Amino acid sequence: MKRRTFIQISGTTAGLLLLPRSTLGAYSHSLGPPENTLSDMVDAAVSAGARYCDARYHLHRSQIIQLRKENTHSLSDTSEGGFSMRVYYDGGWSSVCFSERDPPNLRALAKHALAMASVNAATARMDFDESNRVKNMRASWETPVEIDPFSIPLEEKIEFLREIATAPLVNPQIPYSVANLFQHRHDVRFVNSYDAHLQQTFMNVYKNFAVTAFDTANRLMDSRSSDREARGGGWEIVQQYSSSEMRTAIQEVMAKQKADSLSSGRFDIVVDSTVLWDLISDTLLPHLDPRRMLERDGVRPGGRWLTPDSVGSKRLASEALTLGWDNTMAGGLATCGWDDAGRPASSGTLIDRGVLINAVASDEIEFATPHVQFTRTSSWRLPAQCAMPNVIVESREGKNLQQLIASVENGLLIRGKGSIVTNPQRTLFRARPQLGWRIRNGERQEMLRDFEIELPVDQFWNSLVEVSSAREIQVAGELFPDRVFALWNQPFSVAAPHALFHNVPVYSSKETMR
Amino acid sequence: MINLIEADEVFIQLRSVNASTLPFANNHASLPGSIRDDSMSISIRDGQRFGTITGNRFDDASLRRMVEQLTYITKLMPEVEGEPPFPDFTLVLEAPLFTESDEQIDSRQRLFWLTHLLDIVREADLRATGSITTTDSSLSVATSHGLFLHQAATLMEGELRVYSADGLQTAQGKQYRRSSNSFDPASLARRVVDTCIAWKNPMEVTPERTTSVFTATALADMLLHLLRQFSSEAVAEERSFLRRLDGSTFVGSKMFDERITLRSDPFEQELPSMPFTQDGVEVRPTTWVKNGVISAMSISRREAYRLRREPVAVPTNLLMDGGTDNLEELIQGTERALLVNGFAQLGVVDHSNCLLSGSTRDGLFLIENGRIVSAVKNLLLRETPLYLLKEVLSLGRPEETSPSGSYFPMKLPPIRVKDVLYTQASGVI
Repeated sequence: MKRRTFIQISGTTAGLLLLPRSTLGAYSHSLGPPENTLSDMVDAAVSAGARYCDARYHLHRSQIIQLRKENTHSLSDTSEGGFSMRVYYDGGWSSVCFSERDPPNLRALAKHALAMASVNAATARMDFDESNRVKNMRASWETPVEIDPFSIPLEEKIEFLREIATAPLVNPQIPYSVANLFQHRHDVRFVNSYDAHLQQTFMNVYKNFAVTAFDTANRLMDSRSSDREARGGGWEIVQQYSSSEMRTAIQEVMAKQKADSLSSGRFDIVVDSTVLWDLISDTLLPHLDPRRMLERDGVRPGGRWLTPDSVGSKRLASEALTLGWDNTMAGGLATCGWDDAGRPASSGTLIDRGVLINAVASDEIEFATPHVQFTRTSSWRLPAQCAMPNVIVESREGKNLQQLIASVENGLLIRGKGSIVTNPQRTLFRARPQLGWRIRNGERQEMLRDFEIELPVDQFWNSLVEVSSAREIQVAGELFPDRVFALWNQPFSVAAPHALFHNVPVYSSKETMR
Repeated sequence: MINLIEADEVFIQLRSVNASTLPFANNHASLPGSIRDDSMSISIRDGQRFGTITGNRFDDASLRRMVEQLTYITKLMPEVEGEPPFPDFTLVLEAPLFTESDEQIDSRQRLFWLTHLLDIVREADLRATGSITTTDSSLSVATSHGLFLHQAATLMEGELRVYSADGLQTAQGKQYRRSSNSFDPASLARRVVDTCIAWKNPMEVTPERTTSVFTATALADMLLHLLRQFSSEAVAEERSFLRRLDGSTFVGSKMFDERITLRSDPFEQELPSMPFTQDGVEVRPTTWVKNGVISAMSISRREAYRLRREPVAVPTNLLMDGGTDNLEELIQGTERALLVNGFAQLGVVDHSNCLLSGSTRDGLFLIENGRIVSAVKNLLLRETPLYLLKEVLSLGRPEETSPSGSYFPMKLPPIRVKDVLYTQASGVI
């Protein structure tokens, strides 16, 4: 940016900034730019020769508040907007985007996009898949919200978090606590070259907390975080918080400090949904991405579990696992009316009684074997591309958690988001849950610590005995899925019940923990 | 705009980025993309409270809301003591970093770069993953005390990792250039492919103290960690080898070989770099080590305010004196040594002496009687760059390079050092 431009910005805003200031709890959120720009972008691309084009305007407002103990540690309120466009031309795809300031010459932009698509096609031409694209339609969709979280004054939110963050500090063994609140709103307008005009609003909130306890005599440090996860919805989700959640977390972290270490062995394990969420996300779902199957994820060749030929025949898990996708799921982070390629939300089956029957793909990846198309992005800056839809572990009438525990003679119950690491090929994993209890003769007994599960991914999923009743399914949202798989940049949710796994190797990790 | 915001102090940062990326994976082009982005960050101080807001919407209504929201947020932040005022007026010239805009680069040029690179990799029956990115960007900072700084830059980045089909051989490299005229991803591809092919059937060697030749890139990875410790804050927080046991520093002490001189200069003719920091501090030419003697360390604005001194900006490039031999000549003059091209996950394990640990990667070879005789299985290095700079045997001719993580312009020589410590086989491919 030139100095002159910098000064111009200052000049044009001078008059408005002279207006009297007001203390705003929340400002109105309007979708500013005219839809004409999107139509002009599409027209420019089609006029330049694009076989297909879609254009989006994406306005993102986020508010993030973090309290450390009683203090406001960070407070941000950001609103950013921009345009992006995908084109298919001459056997290739490309994506271009620009922020609202200084909109470029749209003809030049379209020409550039087509040139980039040609470069894309130079290494491998792709056919255009016309199926299931929205045409000749004007429609809208929005996340069901009872209370707009941005209508709540910041003071109220900070006070709410302060109550959470200070509650555990009365205990001298818990000198540290944090409480966070994330709120996101995405307003997206979409126009494609089939004269479809869509308008969608996505809203999600995520409130969490963590407490850390120290036992200085024994040099132990343990943390316990809240089990609630990011959900699509409004402030009403935050209001579901009960102070009993914090009390339970305090009791659990204190009990863990006094718990004995577990010796290595093989156990039947009852996996609470709070652990099963991450086990599905981290060990199973990346294999369903075609970029992993095609070895285009940057990981060194060799050792891949699945290839495109695996779809339709490969057994990934025992018959107890049926995993579906569902982009209509209530509260799901990937729930939408249409994806960012203009395909309507759908649901179906990915893994049927242990056998892979569908992968997940999108326009920019040529993938011939059966798959569901899902294209999405959470920012105008990031190109819309292959993303993971919401997934759900299918469950019918079954046992509840207590009945699962009752069916175990010698085992463990594990609960709480801990850590999971995998090898680069994701064929081997190590999981360390936050909490664990011994199960003897069908009853949950003492808490245990310092253990981790480590085994090949296929062995683990083939040791699944049963999942609990559909009534016990809980939804977890992955706001930052690139934590799991570097190529995923779009949030999604996992809905899972509890599950029982048979004869799982568990290792003592006492030395590494202390 | 600064004058119109009602606050005790105002700091504004404007960023502009125009970039195009051609990613590729497993020899296939992935989705290419371009971005044209402008964004602004405003920070204010009101009494003892600070607030910051960012945004990229520059219409009048959005800017008004942004300022109102910033004022509101700042009132809710806790009071902070000991923060320095935002910087005063300083005259800093623009460094010669801008050569051309992203839009000026012809798509046929991009196509040539990509296809040529992939052809070289395919012909060698290897698999390529990486990207070619061209960027023009600018950063402007201004304060209510009259500071206005502006810098534009052009950067071409080629990033490439190649694997053999069985995944048992690999090498990686990066190329950074300020102009498309000198950007040559094909030469990057040839270098990386040659290294990958040469690293075949690696032999095992006993991990022990071994004379080693470090390429300029390998040295850059190690010196980046060292450079971060040339900081008064790092000393205060006990994260620096420059801290003596009594809390004073080793500035003025001779710690390295007489031939070691490390300096930085944003206006260095062959390797210019950012002449100011993001918080508006001028980056002046600085000699950090002179003939083996520690001669300076950076002082942050906050620390300088506390000490009532002028801040010393962290360097934005690094220049090291050397000799006249290139890498090949350095190898020819070596009786027996390991040749180290790079590392995987090199990290500091002990800040007090900048002890690093990490696996060698991307080409570890055995040199005997002046020539490379074999590839070597990767080893875990456990060594400090302090030792390297103290016990260096030979310095080669400095060449342009950068650490492997992200771009930090450096001009470093390849070096030969005696008795570098390797503790075990790493198992890394």
